[in-house]
Amino acid sequence: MRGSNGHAASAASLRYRPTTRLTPRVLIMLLCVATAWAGVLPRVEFPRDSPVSLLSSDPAGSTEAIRGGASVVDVRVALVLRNSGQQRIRGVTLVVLAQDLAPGGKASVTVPSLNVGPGETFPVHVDLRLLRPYQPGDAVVQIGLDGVLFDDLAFYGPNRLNSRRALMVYELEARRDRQYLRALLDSGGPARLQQEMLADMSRRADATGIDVQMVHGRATNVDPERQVQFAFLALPDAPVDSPGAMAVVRGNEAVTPHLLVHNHSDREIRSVEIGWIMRDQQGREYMAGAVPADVRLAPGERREMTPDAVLRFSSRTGQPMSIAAMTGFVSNVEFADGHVWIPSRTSLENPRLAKVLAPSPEEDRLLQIYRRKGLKALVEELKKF
Amino acid sequence: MNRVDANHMDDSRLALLAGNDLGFWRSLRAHWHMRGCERCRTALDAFQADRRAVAQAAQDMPAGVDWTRLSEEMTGNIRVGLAAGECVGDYPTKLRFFRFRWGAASVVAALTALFVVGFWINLPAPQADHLVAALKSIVSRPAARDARRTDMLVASGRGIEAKTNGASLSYVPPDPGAALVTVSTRGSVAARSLDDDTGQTTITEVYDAR
Repeated sequence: MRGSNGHAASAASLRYRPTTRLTPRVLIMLLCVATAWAGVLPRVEFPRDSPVSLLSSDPAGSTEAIRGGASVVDVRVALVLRNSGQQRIRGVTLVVLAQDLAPGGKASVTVPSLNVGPGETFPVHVDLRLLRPYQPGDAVVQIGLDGVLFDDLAFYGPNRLNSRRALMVYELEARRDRQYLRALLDSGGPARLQQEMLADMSRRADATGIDVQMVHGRATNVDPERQVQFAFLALPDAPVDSPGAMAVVRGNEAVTPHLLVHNHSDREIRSVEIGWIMRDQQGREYMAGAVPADVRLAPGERREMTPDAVLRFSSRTGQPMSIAAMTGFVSNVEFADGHVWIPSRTSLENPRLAKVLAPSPEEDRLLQIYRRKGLKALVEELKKF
Repeated sequence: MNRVDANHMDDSRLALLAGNDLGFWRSLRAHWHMRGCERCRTALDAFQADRRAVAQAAQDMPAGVDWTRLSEEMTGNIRVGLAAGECVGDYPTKLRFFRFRWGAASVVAALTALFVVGFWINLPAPQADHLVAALKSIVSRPAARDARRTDMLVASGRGIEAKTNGASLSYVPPDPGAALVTVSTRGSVAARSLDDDTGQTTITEVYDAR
């Protein structure tokens, strides 16, 4: 069998043959490049019975770059979703899981004030930046659904981020504000509506923001500690009030206030959110944040909300802001039966609240329609639903 | 006829491989090569057999060594050493501490107390409070370290950010000045932005790792 072919093979083996085989090193490098590219692409997964389906996903803006010892992953995805259910959709919350940040590192993207009918599509833009110490391997980013709110206030979704309450609050605020503006239109005509829009724009122009840093369970400021009485703004129709509250302040840091909350409604409460207004030494007031708490409160029951976070305030120029006083108000309440309470427009006319509270997402959207398209477009929009 | 093949491994690499000294990647390549090369495999077996033989030979006593006599000589040397040590004399039983000068210590203590009292009296009240708070924070620092929390949430005019152990997740709105940022003490920061083209509101929220 070896015959002439065997000799030919022996002769060939004597000749120089350039190595063209893929060495393990080359294979591993190719694998690394492939996984790095794949790592930038987020995975989008919705439940099979989801009322929204993914029509297209464009991750073209997603990139990964190495800067020194860190890797910067920009997750920029333009999603187009379709309402594949039978009801109109009012709001959607997507959850973005970035496991490389830390176990449980996550973000969410909520689109409120929607009015998407069955079969219609709408865009959602995810734009996040993940910075992590450089490590070979892919950055795992997953996008999923946390909740969908329909026009009859029914909810679908795993609700891991408590998006049901948030979407309900946005929707109820939207209905309240649309109803208020429609009432103005009906009673005073377009001129009255325009007057309200101009007042809104003026309020927004006057509002100044502050920078806030929050840490859990520790304070870093070495300024002397002092107790500050936490005043409570009583809203006439709120199901909850606070008979007493105290906060600990160190310079520009404040520990979440001790709050005693009292349910004076006839329904059991599941969670309460307290808005927190901060006043600086110059007497200016700012919206400092929200203090939500899952507190089960039976009718007539009182319970203490325990502090867990430290907030540090500074101006937009980075100067620490010394805290002079603090005020709280009930911003929303979720009852055990799933209903949600929000302050009425009458409550919001309180001058202190009106000064610091931002308009609802829907009011903001309507304001933008007025600013960009004019009064006629706003009137048409208000008449839609 | 002897086949000459440039792809065969030379003796030095085979020897290193037999002793596990070739390095990970080269070993991997060598083993891959030997899967199809009988000649190199046989040579490697021979190297390994030699290593085992040498190791076995090293465990035996050298020829002509009388262990009993060697042991007695070593014991004798140790005894001679101990006897020589006793001739030199004993170590001091205890160290001598320097004599404490109570008079000088009292003067230093009095001066220190005078300085502290004078400093405290002349220190403005806010600075005194600040000093006390700083000292308290030093004392309570181990407790803070035990708290293990290193995550921080930031809401500013530039956007929102969640930081955890050197990593961060952030969102910068298209128009940072116009975006509304809010903090929730449940452990999240949110930024609300409005798309000028679509008129759609988007609320992006990042959470701490709790």
